[in-house]
Amino acid sequence: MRLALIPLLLLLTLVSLAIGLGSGSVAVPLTEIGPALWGSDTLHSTVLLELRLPRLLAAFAVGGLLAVAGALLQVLLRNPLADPYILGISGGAAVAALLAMLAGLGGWWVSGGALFGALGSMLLVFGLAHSAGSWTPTRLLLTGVVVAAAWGALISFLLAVAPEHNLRGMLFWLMGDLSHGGEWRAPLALLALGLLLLFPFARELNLLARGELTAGSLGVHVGRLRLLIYFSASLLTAAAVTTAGSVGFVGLVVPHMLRLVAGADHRLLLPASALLGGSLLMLADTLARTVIAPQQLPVGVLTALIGAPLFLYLLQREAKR
Amino acid sequence: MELLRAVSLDVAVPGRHLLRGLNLNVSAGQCWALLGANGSGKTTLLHTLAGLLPPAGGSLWLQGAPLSRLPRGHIARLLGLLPQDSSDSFPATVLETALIGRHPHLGRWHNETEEDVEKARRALAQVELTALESRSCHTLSGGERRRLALATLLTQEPRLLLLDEPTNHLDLSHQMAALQHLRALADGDHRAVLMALHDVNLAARYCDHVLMLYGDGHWQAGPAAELLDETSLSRLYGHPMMCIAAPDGRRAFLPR
Repeated sequence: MRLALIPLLLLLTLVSLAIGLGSGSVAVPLTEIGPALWGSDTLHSTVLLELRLPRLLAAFAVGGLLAVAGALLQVLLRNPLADPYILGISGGAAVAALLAMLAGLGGWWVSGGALFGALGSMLLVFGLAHSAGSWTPTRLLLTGVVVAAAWGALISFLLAVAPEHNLRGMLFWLMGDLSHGGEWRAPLALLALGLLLLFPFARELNLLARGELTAGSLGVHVGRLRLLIYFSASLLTAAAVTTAGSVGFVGLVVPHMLRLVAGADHRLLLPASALLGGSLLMLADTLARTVIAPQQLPVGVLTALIGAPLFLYLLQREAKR
Repeated sequence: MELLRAVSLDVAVPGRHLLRGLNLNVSAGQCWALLGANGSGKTTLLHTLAGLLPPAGGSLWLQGAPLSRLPRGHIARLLGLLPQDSSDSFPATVLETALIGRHPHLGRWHNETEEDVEKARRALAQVELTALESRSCHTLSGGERRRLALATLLTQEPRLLLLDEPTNHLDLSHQMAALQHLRALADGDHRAVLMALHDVNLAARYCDHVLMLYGDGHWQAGPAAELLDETSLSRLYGHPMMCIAAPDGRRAFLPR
């Protein structure tokens, strides 16, 4: 099972990509995808290369970033309920992005605001949790959850005072949305970079998941490893949120699905999370733009709709074993 | 051969000095019992000796090198700790759990080899967990978990084994088996063992040295035969103790 997992997930990624490329208002048959991608300037190749492929790549990157960040935070906080947003990163990003929208600014201002808000929130939570010296997972979790709650209140406030015509855009952003055809190069590069950086620490993550004491007595420099996890998970999340708003569910559930199927070895879990998270979000986004076409749904609605039953199925299967 | 040396070591928790000026010399072949009442600082001392907590004063030397300056990975190849409790937040099998003991021996880019798996299996056999090898840790009983933690420490193969109440949750026969094995590691394999124990009679039976913590900063260390008597144990536990001779000539300590 374990050895076959990565090839299977690669296959799933390719299938999701093909489905995403093929579906839409202009249906492209499977056999024509290849020629259209490398072919001349036909209608199909314009649709694929300029619309669908960038959006799918962005979806893959965001899904992968969130799933990897979720796996990391679950280890850092030693809490299976942790997701990439639990420490307030997405809240900070959302407040800044919504402020930009309220000010009537678009495009880059919203993304830039989100990035600024996410990084600000990351430093705020770190500073608050760290200031007393001892930096325990519980303290970090409580600080993060409370800061996130404060951001939540600010978000509600902004939604309450926002004029009617801004509201729809703001809600879409909050639910996670890829329809403005976001940037894909930076998040994809960051995902690859993050995996490369973290992979050598995968065995240490396995140890930290078993507790600070076990990790420390087996030779892990716990303090340094925690800092590495906190900042890399935060940056991965910030990149995802900047690209697509706060897409829910992927970061919480994808790592758990993989743990149920393949165990908790992070040498496998990190790359597998990236592939499964990416595939799931590509599929969800394809559905988001096709189920009630020409209208588009926020992709965040669909991640939970697809993910929840899948996860519950795996959980049931595990219980029967 | 000297493994660990403490020089005028102070151990404290916020607001309280547990131990002042401890001088200790643990050599290969020795088996130490760490005795003391609840809250006397046994666990804090073990964590300090393992380099996981900075001492409040004094210095620690591991094979002649200052402990505070050694890289964590190097320490973990020489010295291992069995924590008082271990918990698992995420699923893992018994074999995987024992195998993490190999971590300090593996490079960042290396995976466990067949030889490492073999070592983990031998340790599992040692604590009679072979049959449960592929079970999930969540399904183990308290005593089985304790034996698994011990197997992880054995897989680590440190020169000095620090154990925090290794006999917790173990039934009588597994207590004897575990301590016998630790004793054999010290005798036959030139390792050293230092373990916190609550059972004085197990300490008297298996350990050649004792370190007694009185909880107020005072301590006594030395050969078990000299230090274990009614007076010191009564003071240690704050309860009168008596010593009786067993038919086979051994001494047994009972609360009065």
